[in-house]
Amino acid sequence: MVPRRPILSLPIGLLFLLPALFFVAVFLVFPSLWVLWISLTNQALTGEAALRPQFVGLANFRYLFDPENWAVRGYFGNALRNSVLFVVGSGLIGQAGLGLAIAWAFHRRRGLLREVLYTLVILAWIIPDVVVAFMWVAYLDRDQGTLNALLSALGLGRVDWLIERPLLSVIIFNTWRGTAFSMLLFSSALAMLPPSYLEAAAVAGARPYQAFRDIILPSIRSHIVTDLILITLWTFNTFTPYLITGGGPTFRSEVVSIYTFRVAFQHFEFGRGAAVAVVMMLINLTLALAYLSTLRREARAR
Amino acid sequence: MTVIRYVLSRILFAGFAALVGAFFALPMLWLTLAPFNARGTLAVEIPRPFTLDNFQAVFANTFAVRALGNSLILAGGTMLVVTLAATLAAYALSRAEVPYYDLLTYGLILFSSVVTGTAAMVPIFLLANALGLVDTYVGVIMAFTGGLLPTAIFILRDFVEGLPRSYEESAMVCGASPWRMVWDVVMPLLRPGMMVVGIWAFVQVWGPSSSPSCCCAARSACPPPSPSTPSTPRRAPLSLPSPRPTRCSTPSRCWLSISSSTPVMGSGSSGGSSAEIRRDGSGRMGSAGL
Repeated sequence: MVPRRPILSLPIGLLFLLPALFFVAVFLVFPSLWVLWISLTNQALTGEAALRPQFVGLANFRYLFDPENWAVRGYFGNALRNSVLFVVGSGLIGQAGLGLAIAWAFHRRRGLLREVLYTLVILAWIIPDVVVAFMWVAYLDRDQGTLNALLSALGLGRVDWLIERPLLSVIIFNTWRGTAFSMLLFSSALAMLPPSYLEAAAVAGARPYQAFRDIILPSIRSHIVTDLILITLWTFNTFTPYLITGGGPTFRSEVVSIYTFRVAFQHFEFGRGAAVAVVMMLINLTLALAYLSTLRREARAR
Repeated sequence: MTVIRYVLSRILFAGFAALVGAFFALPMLWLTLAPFNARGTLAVEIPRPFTLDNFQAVFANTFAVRALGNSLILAGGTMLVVTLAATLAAYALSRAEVPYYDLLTYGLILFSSVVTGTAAMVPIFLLANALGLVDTYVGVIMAFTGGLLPTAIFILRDFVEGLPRSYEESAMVCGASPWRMVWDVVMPLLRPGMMVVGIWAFVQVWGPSSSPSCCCAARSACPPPSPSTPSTPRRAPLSLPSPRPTRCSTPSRCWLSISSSTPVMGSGSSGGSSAEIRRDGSGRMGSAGL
């Protein structure tokens, strides 16, 4: 191949890159490094610590991981535990599981039913946060909510979902909210499978679940890994549960993102909030690196 | 045997489809009816009497209208800046043979997925606070732009790679300056990609509540700073989103200030939240929802 002459000279290319690099450097890279420093101080918005923040070493991190009140409600351990339940329940089982189930059930089916169902699922995904939150507060209301009306019509008792089962409520909510992504991803992954695979399995007399386990799962494995990592990353960072339960009652549905918000923006203890942000970023970094390495492995396999 | 199995699988499929359909449709049912109900409640009811007054009330509420306007300004501004900066950057990355091209894009993507959501709120607020940009349009737009740009560049890169180089080469032969070439040749060709990125950026700002806008407009929307006592309950007056809406408060912020002023997230009195929301709900459904 003849070496191509670049269309832009390097200086002009860098000039074109400059605006983007400016925004990214100032509003993404710099703050994320600065927060490392803040997490080692007792910086706050008000009081003496606001004027003369002092270096406190790892005190903020020790506070987060203090074994004495680690798992007490309202502390970091409780938030972390809720986050794990939230991610596993709503992300991995809920969104990815239900998404795969829907994609498989409607694989190679066409028609009105599929269109209507897919539209509903996608609608739940694209409605703005606030509207969705209001809908769900009404849906789960104890006295008038649609869900309880339905349950009592079926002869089952009413449940005050947001008070008695706050974590379960936000898990179900988040499943409803985000299944569309997994569903779409798995639908297109299944659509790319050569039909001959499943036909051969059918000729060999395989049951649907055998075909699913032995043919479909192995062939879309990489998509599943991608989906799980992205879903985990997004679910871990989402803030929408706050709009429904506010993390309460008594911190029972407080996930890490809500904990960060409370410490940093309601108590205005920036040093401590920065420490939580650093822990969150470390978890994100692990997930993102896992994602990128699977992407690279796929690219090499291809 | 096969007939039975066929019938069984049809029944299973129909049952599954019905369950999934109900799971996704039921929460939306209420929102399609309540706004048109003169005496709206949280229950699913046929609007009686049917009315459009709720919408009128929203648009008569200057705070609500202003919040909508703020959303438009912020989303539109971010869309413009992100699209322009990302187009230039993606083009330069593809055509100028910048050293460490791949490392740069992947590094940026990595950064934007690590510094995201709530983890990004603290550092960005601190920065905005230090620069005096809290509660300004410019601050919010710039903070959003920084977070969205890496992905925008990543998306646009593929579009630029798909452009035939011959158009640009002919422009160069005709003596066009690099800037003119980008403006008159490349950008018109890239329009579909720019549309994708622009709409994506707009939606990213318009929809979510957990975002730089949250912390950059945080001061007056959050309870007053009181490090010793967690979350001072501060009741918002009925139907007014916040006693003093910030300049950048958006509909999401209004909702947040309503729900964060309820005692439920502090300690005790757990019935407060639904009572408060029920009060808002039966009073002025529309304005709280927006």
